[in-house]
Amino acid sequence: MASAESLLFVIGLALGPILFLVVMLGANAILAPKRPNDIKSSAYECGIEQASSPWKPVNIRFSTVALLFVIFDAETVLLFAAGTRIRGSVTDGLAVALFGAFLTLGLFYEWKKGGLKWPA
Amino acid sequence: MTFVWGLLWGLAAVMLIAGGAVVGVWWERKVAGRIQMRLGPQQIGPAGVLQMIADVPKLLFKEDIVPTGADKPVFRYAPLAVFAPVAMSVAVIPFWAGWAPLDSTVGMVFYLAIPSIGVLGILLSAWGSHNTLATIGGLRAAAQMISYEVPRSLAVLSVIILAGSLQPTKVMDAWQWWWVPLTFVGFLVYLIASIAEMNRGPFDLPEAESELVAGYFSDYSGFRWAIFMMGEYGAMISAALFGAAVFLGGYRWLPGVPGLVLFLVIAMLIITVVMWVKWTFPRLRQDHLMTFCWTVLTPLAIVQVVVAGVVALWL
Repeated sequence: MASAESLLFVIGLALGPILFLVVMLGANAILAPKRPNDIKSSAYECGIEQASSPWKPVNIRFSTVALLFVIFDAETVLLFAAGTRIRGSVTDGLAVALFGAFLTLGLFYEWKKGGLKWPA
Repeated sequence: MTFVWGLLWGLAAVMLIAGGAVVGVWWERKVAGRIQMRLGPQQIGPAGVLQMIADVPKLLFKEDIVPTGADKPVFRYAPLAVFAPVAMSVAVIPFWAGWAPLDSTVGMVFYLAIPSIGVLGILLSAWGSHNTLATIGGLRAAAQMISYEVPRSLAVLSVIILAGSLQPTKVMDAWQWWWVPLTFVGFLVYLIASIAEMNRGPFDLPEAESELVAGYFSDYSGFRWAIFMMGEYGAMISAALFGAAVFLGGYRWLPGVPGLVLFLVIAMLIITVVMWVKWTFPRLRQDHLMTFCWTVLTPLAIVQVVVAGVVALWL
């Protein structure tokens, strides 16, 4: 399959589920009752009124996790591409091993620095 | 024309997942019932099987409540982004010798990359709800899902190294029976990380009912709520099928149709194990959850990759 064609296929693949959901949501809109009132339409927070808006800055530790993920995922993608070459080739295996060693070293450095600890 | 085929396969994947989710809910209630020494559903039809047919129309007749404070377009349409990627990921799974709906040369990466888009949908729906519980749940889901992505990818990498290809059908062609004991640790890492990815117990902190009501979908009702439910079951079905294929050999054990049947049976066994895990283990704590991912699963997956790499040199 040519790349332009498989792109079309993937777009179709994404639109198929969305089409199904839109039809089902349409059926839901037609069949379901619609009787909103103030209490029903308020945010569900166990019966009490919302004390403050939840749209506020979030804890910094979430960004640390995000950073770690970006680094590791980029390296994993590179390993995916390089990893297919290892089979039956010692030189390619050594090259990938060197790269993988850096990844592992990075993980242990992060571990020692306490970056993997989720402060309680 | 290719576009139409894609659309049709997308719809076929939805039917598989929606049907699987409906049967899965019934099966899970049965499994959970037996684990807790109850009978589970048994009133409607033999062994309660008609219960699942009653469940779907019920959801269609439920009011679709949109909270006044919510960011309405985001709240309404974010669930689509939760479900669509899960359905898309099914397309690269090799069901038959040399055949997958989308036989892509980078199918293994596609399978790992596409379902991760779901985390954006979860974050959007949580933020769009304008609800403190939902926001906390969404943030937890984001941190958890992106973290468990790393050991999961590394576990799949061990099979890719052994097969020397990123194309799922080629991986299946290269598959040997002795890869099962060799990559067993990788399979366990994959299974644990997959359970965390689909936010199921014992890793269901984003939707922990004892503290967050239902987490990121607290404010959802009617069919929009059902989309989250289908997304969760869909992720379970898709992860079980993929794991059964690339780690456990899927259809390779038997030729022809019995192979396909065996593949589906293995996938169902994996799903049952996932349910069993949910109903027997207590929920983890947030800091334990993150530490477990980075200091236990990731090193284990790296060891598995090294083992696979060393063996692959002689293949």
